Amino acid sequence: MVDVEKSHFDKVRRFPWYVTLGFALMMVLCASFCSMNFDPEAKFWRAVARERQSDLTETRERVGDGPLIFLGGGSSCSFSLHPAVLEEVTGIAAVNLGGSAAMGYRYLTWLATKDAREGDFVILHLEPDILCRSGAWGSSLAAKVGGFHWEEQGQRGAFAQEIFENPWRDPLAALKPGAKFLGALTAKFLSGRDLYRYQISDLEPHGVLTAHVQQPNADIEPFTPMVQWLDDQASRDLRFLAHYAREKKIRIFYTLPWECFEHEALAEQRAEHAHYLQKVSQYLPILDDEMMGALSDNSMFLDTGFHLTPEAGKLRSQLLGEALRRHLELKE
Amino acid sequence: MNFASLTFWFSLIGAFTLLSLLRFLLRGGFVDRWAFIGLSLFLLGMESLETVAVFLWVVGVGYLGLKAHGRWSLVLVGCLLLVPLGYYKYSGFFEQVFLGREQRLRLLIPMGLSFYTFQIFSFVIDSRREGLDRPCFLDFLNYASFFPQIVAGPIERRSDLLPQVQNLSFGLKRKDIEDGLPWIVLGLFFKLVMAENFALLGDELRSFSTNSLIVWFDALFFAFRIYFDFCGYSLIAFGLASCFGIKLTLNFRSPYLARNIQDFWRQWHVTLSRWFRDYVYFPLGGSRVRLWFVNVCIVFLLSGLWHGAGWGFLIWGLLHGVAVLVCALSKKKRLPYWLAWSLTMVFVTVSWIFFKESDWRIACQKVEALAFLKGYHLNASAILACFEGPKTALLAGFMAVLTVAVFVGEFFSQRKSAAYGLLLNRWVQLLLIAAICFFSPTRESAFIYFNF
Repeated sequence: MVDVEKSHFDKVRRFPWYVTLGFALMMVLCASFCSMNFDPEAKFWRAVARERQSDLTETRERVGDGPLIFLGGGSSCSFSLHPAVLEEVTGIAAVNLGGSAAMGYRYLTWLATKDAREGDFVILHLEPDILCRSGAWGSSLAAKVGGFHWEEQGQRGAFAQEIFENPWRDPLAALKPGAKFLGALTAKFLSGRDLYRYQISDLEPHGVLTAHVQQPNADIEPFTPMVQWLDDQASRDLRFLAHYAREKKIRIFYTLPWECFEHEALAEQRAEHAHYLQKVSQYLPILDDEMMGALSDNSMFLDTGFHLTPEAGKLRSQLLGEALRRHLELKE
Repeated sequence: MNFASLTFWFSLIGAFTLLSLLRFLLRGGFVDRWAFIGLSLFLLGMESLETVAVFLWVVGVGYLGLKAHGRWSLVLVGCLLLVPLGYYKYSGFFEQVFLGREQRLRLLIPMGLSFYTFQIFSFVIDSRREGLDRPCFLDFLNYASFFPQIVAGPIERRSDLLPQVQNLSFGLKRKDIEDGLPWIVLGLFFKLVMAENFALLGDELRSFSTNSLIVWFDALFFAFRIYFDFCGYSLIAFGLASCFGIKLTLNFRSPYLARNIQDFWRQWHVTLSRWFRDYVYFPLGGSRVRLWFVNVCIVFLLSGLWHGAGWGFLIWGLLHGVAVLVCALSKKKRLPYWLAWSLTMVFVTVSWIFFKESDWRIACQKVEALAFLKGYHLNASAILACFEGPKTALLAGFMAVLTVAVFVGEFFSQRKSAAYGLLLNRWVQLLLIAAICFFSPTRESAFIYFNF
């Protein structure tokens, strides 16, 4: 057999090492520029964040020293919780700061708590999947939308090893667009389709989103057993969050998003959710309702099995407001 | 020690800088070798302290074993060397097979255990067989712990690696870096662009059904994934070692271009094949005994078992053993290259199903699905329906084009007797760097062979 290694070193002409590394650095910068600027999903959520920030400033001015309710979570929160209804029921002004579940729960909780002051309420409407699945605490999308500083919250709650490993990993991974993303974007661009399914015009006052796409047969899930009741990392982060809330004197609650399931799966799914809520309640108080996060009427959903129609969203917000009011009355 | 993770590269650069500074302060010949040991053990220790402890046990036993005289003391050393491997890798499986107990919680195998155990084993045997002197402990430790190859090979022999580590210099020379860098770039391209995207495709296929197309896609994606994953790792290891002036064995030589299974095993995981040949096949009598075919089957069964404790791995090994026998018996019938290559690829791809599936019954179901014509619906909508969405189908198309391009590159390189030579061309390298930055997915995963 030919001595391939030797023949290579003799034959192959190479660039000086600094040319190769310089080119690699240049490509990293180009890829990160593309990734940050041409990702329509990140662009959309950045625009939403800007709009919501001005909405929050206005609401703060309106209520003066009074408390505020911050609603945080994935897209189920953005589409399904109506601050105006909550204010009507509880008498406390509210703002919706929901993002997308793809951002990971650490960014979403940071987004919901970063502007909360003493006396404010934070309601986390996080999809169970991101608290149960390992490694769903952060994502490249969060890094593209929120930059790097949101990692601080995780660092304070994490163990030393995680501080060493994690803080820069996802933001740096975000710098790569990826073949799947580039292919899909090119195909959409060439076919003249919308680059992202939601537009900034879908954003309503107080931060609620609505979809102009309606799929009457939204994803109806069969019974879906949870991977685990609560991920270990998520448990540590929730423990930290509870500690953070006590320190800052803000009141943080957890509530389960409504999701569409097959009618036959309801009882079993609700029992599954009850177990999950029991785990979460070790760290945060729960605001629940009789639905226990599982519905079977798909006409209440918009384009996915997590996004409620405006009418269903208002009902959900009313029930949530009542649960909060009951909780406060009990406390008093 | 995941070469595809940023943690590894930052740790390597940090530790190397620190140790270089230390080396500068404590000038002396022995410092270089200590510095290398420090670097290797630090990188191994990042995985866990247990990993280092197990490694030191195997090294300690191996070194003491070099003093062993007589057959029985050598057998004892061999058994002691295999204790960690037996405990971590096989205890659960054998408990299930022989005691009929359900497998306990699967133990996490310390990183690189199978590789360095085999390497040290070969060192002990070679030293005894050839009557070679025991090297000093420092050199032996460097031989066993050299960080580019400790985790997943190549499994180097005493005569290849020891003389090189005895002259190690803990410094970087421009020529060495420029020799190693193209291999690292190619390895990163194989791992981050090819293997990771094939992994993504495998995850986004619709779940298993009797649809033969899905089974084909699943098997093909895994076949490409495992090749690019392991070959990528080996090329990075080769490049990293070159940067420090050490020449390792090229563990892969375009095995998917092989025209038969015998060639395939000469080109796939070269050092493991050589290990089994030199330490199992030849001692059994090789092809000189009447029952040589039994020897072949034993070698491949052991090779399957080396990869993992499970029936799937054993079946995979046995299938390859039988295929090698068939090839050996039909040597005189020479098929045209394209036909021989196609048959080899089909066999290799289908056999990976047993390797991938932890439950051999599911693997059998999948192979059965491939055999029945009624499961095939060859039209565009049926093909699209295999994927979870149009984005995934688009990615599959893109990866098909990229794979063909890579294999064409490998083919022409091989014709010039220089494995991967065309892909090491400096202009191609720039394209590969751009591809790594733009086409690798955002998620990060470990190398498949870390599990072995």
